[in-house]
Amino acid sequence: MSDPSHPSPLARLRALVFSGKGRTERELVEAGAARVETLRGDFEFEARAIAERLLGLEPIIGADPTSQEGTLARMSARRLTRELREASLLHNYSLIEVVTGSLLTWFEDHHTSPRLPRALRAHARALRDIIDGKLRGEQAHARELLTAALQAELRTEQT
Amino acid sequence: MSMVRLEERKGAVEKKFDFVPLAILVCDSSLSMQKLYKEALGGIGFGLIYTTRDVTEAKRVLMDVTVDMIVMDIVDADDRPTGLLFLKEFRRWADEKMATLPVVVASSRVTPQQVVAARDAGMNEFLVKPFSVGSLFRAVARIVEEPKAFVRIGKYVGPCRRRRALPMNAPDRRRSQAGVIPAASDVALGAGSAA
Repeated sequence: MSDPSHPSPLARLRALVFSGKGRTERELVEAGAARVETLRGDFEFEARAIAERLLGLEPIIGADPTSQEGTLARMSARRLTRELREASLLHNYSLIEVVTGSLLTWFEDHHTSPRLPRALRAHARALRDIIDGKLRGEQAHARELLTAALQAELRTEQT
Repeated sequence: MSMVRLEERKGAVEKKFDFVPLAILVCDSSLSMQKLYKEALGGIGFGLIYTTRDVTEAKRVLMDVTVDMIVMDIVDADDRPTGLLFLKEFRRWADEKMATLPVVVASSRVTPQQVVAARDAGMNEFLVKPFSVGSLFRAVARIVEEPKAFVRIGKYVGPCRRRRALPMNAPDRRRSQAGVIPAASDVALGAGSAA
């Protein structure tokens, strides 16, 4: 049993946090959200860079998805997409959230599909268009646009 | 009496948190998530925020500086559970102060098995990614609002895993066990245990 004359680390933390100073939960959360908001510009820049990297990975995945290089490229693309989705939700960037959510479904449920590279390309282009302001609207609208873009991309492959 | 309750409620709503004296270590492979953590935790008021991209960097920081909390992902950039393994490892470090550091596990992996694995590795709180600033605040606030005793029971080393308030029909033997470090003198072993 620890010596009661020495407070446990958590007891020490409690004493520091609840010293009577500081701010309320609402004030602190608002301050945090305001600071996160300042990263929106950075986020758009990074989202575009990720879209370009996804486009760069597409030919490697398309060449031979079962090779070591192809597998690594797919895993890398999936990780980038997941990171972008996590950040998009925190930034409340619903269009990017829709596109990355859809692409993650491809990576998780259709990773062996020969259509994956085409789908990746369509999604990456959609991401680029969102950042460039060419694709606007609400979530539902974004889903419609994305579905149309994806279908067009997949049709191109068939013809 | 109702006035007293109103006052109590008002007092509870306006509870003040001061995280300024605290240092926190963040371990996340994503650079954009590191930036988000830095701003969100900075806004919440943490005085010092160290960001690292993997457990190797995190270990290096822990060797050099003193932190009061850790927020970490359970997987690394290659989806390997390095964060989980690191959590298990440092819960067994000889330095008690380090071994008992509160840890918030943040992860986009939210299957029951993964949450249980993080709990059994010794996490204090689980934060589902993506999260809002409000839920990040709640996770770190719960650590100080509802502190749990640190226990070493069998193979498990970490905060008490009890979450529910269940009546106890026998004396609580853990209070006299050598492996228990109380959360605070007036706080129960588990968050939900009767005091």
